[in-house]
Amino acid sequence: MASLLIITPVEKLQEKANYIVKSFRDMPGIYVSLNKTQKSIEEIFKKSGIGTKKLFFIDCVASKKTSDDVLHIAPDRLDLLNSAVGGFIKNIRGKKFLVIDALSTLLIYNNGNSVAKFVKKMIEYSSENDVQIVALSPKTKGEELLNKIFNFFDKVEGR
Amino acid sequence: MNKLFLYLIVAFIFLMQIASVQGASNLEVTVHDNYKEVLAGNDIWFTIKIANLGNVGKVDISLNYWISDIDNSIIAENKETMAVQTQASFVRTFNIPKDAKIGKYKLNIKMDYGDGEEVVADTSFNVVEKQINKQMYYIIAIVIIFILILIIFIFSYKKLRVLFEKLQIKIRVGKIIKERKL
Repeated sequence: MASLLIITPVEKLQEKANYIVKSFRDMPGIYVSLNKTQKSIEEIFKKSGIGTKKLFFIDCVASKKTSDDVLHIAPDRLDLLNSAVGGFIKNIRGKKFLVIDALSTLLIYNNGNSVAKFVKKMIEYSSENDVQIVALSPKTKGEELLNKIFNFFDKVEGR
Repeated sequence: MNKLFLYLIVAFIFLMQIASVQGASNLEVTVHDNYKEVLAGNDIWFTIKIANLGNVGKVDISLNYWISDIDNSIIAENKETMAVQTQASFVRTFNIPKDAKIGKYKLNIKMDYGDGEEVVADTSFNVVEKQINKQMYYIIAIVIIFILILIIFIFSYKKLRVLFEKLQIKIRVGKIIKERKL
């Protein structure tokens, strides 16, 4: 399965994210963080015993640069987000994964159609470059968006 | 004897006056400084000066003036008659034909007193090519190019900025991956 959309209650969102990242084990991955800063996600992962050595963070929450190996991109710049994800995908050799946590946050800064286009592009990238993509979204948010993007994913959980 | 002497004096004065008229070689023509070089199709302004006509009263003179080229071919001419007393100075114009070739031309004046006596004068001027101020054209061209670049830049600034940002991100991504040695 190359693409998976997980719709889950807000309170279980982090738990699901932890589970997914853990499940990829040593596979390098890209983590697009839209709800928490890279710093707090990394702390959560460390507490959960998840290694972050092979994780590349794109932090869309903190605007200040905290670390040299973290990209900070404003959530309203889907074009740059697209470029960054594309760059990581092309530069990381072998199998990799992409986590978008959480998709619905993009709706705060962008319109539904733009987000849907972005998601479609990410899935296209993923299928072309041997990438497993997992998008997370809270159950209560962005119903309309979710309806637009369901079909792009190979599998949808928690619908 | 005294009478004869008086007649001789009067006759002498009369002869001197006639001589001064007939020898009025003080015919002068000058092309105004601004018209020493003129474009074909434009006017040339010149001054005719007649001096030393003496005190014979008004004299009818006929003036011929013409422009001739280097081969003495006449390209423009004019004629006029006027009454002149003692001296005269007047300004005239000629229109240089549009098809006049570039080169040196002669402006000729012939003054005729009416009794077959003639005096001539001439001066020269140049018909020149329209000077294109190349430097000015370069400046105008540079200004136009600059304005066009500015317009293009203003209209494409946003796109250029996005391209630059994307490039920056790609460079950073490459750097991050290189540092992690993956």
